[in-house]
Amino acid sequence: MTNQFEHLNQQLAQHQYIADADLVTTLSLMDSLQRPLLIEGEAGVGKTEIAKVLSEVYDCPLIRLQCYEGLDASTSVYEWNYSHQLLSIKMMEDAGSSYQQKESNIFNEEFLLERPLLKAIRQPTSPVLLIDEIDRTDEAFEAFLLELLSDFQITIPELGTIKAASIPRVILTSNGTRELSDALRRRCLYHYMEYPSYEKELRIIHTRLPEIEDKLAMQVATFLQQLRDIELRKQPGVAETLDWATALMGQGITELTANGFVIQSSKSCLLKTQDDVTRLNNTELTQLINNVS
Amino acid sequence: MVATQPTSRLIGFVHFLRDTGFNIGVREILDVLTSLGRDALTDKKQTKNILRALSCHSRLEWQQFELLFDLYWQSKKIDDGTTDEQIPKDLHHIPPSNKLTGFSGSSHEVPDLLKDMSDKTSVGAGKQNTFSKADFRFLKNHKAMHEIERLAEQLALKLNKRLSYQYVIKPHGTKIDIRQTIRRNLSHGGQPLKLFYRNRRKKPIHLVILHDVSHSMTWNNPLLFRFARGLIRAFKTSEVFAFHTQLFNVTKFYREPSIEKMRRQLEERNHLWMGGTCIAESIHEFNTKHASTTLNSKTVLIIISDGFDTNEPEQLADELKQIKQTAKKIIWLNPMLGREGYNPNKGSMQLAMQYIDKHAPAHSLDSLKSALRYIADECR
Repeated sequence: MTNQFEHLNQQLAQHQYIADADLVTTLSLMDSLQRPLLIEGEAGVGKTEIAKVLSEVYDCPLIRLQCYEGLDASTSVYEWNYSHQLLSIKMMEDAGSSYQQKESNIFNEEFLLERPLLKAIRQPTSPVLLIDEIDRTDEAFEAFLLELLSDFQITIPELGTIKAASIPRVILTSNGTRELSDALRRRCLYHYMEYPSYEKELRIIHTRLPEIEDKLAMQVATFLQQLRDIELRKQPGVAETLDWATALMGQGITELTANGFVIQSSKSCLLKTQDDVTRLNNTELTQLINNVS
Repeated sequence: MVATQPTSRLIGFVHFLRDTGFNIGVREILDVLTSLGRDALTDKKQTKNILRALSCHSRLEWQQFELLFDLYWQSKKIDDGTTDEQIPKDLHHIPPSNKLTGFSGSSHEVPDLLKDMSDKTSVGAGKQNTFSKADFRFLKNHKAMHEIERLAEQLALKLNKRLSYQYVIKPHGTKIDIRQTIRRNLSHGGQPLKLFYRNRRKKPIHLVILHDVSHSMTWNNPLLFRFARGLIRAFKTSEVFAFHTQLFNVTKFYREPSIEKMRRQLEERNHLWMGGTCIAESIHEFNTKHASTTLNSKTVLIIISDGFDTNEPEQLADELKQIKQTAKKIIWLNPMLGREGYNPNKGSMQLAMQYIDKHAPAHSLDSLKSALRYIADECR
């Protein structure tokens, strides 16, 4: 078992994803137990990225369902191709087909439009199914998902129950804007992702940006750790760290202290709301930069 | 089949978690045993990670797990002389006060334990979320308090996001809603004679908050400040008035991005925690000076107060009656309502109740979440 975890950890690292031991364990269990994984955490900690990397690790397709309020079965599971059906009915009328013939002809695979969930369970090899920001959907859709998550099957009234050809690796992410039901939680393995520690963030920077100077990488990681201690409306995540480090490198900066003006002008990579820009004025920003130098 | 010693210990641990409120079924137990296999109790980190992945279902459980794991295996060591290799080494770092001898698998001391933990952990979600149900008055830990304040503001800020996702069905627009078009044309045999369109809501939400900052609200105010602040920052056309014995328009202070600056500015103007409370007089001042410019038929007025008033009860009822004639709804958020011994059918509140559309508790994070639901419903 331990070898299995180590192997997965190495594979994730090869695909430039630095994961903690507990996350590797959970991902491995998700695969061996064939259970969905619910990942919660603040925006920007790398929840969605896991699904992308897993699809690369397992060399399988990534099927993504982006959730939003009002999402329903016709957008997420399947829909009948109505215009095609109408044309077909018209042609059958001309050919003098019976009612039974028409019905059996128009409700078949030919007129079925696959949406992400149906597509995922009909793949010949297990894909990675990412159900992103599940907390944005309403409770009715969440309840609808239960059948898929527990039995990996979908019921289409006209066709019957479709069982999964291969069990997809399902990853659900949530930012916690709404409480998820206990029924959904119980069907999933659970992992909570925190913002990375200094050491982990430093490793991420070095992995993703191998050309960065050691000193700059350390300063960026320290700066971000300090910035997250300040109460901001939108805390910078790992993506912001990498964007900022890339922006600094692009401007030829090798050290934070000597380039105060450039750093302040690139703060838009880190601060994403007007409130936060006002909150962290240039004096405070300079103070933070001085702390890390 | 007779359970081996490591297996029975593991099952004991799972039962211990269940006793402390974790939602663990037979399936989870089987998964634990299958996943651990021969590695059970030999590799402490791996055992902990596997158990955590399979037994936690929410953030709170995730955060509690570490301590519960350590507590259980520590007491096992004391009870049955388990060797150091078979238990987590970091148990020795647990403060003496947390060591519960004789605890092994029993849940008798768990309520106290969880009560302590509620001050140590941050807010999570789920059925067993003791922290989000905790009364603000009993949160002594500064870090926890700080976190819960932040969450109260975040909750309020997210209301805007929640409402902005609402769609409205209208007879004109750009995107046809086929479902609603068919449903609303059923009287025409399903023929789409009239088209219906789906539009994003554009109507700005207008809230007016009257926030009691008198001495009796001292316990609740840091948090309710943040909650009110979140609402005001979420809805740009909204306004907030603070009152104790007088009324002040504090909208611009609540919109201040820096918390420290906001507090400093309010304190400089003596807007915080003054002595008495004259709710009726303050609302009278609001009615005479501000109501004509701030209230309209779509306004949802929120009063955040414990309802302890030094004015006559009839006066408060009269003032609320006047507001009720203009505003859409009056919601009263009362931090005393969820607490033992408080009777809303006494004193000023008794007469005021007839003009209040919703009298809701505001003593815990959960109650604030519920309050947001009422507010969202009224804003739709």
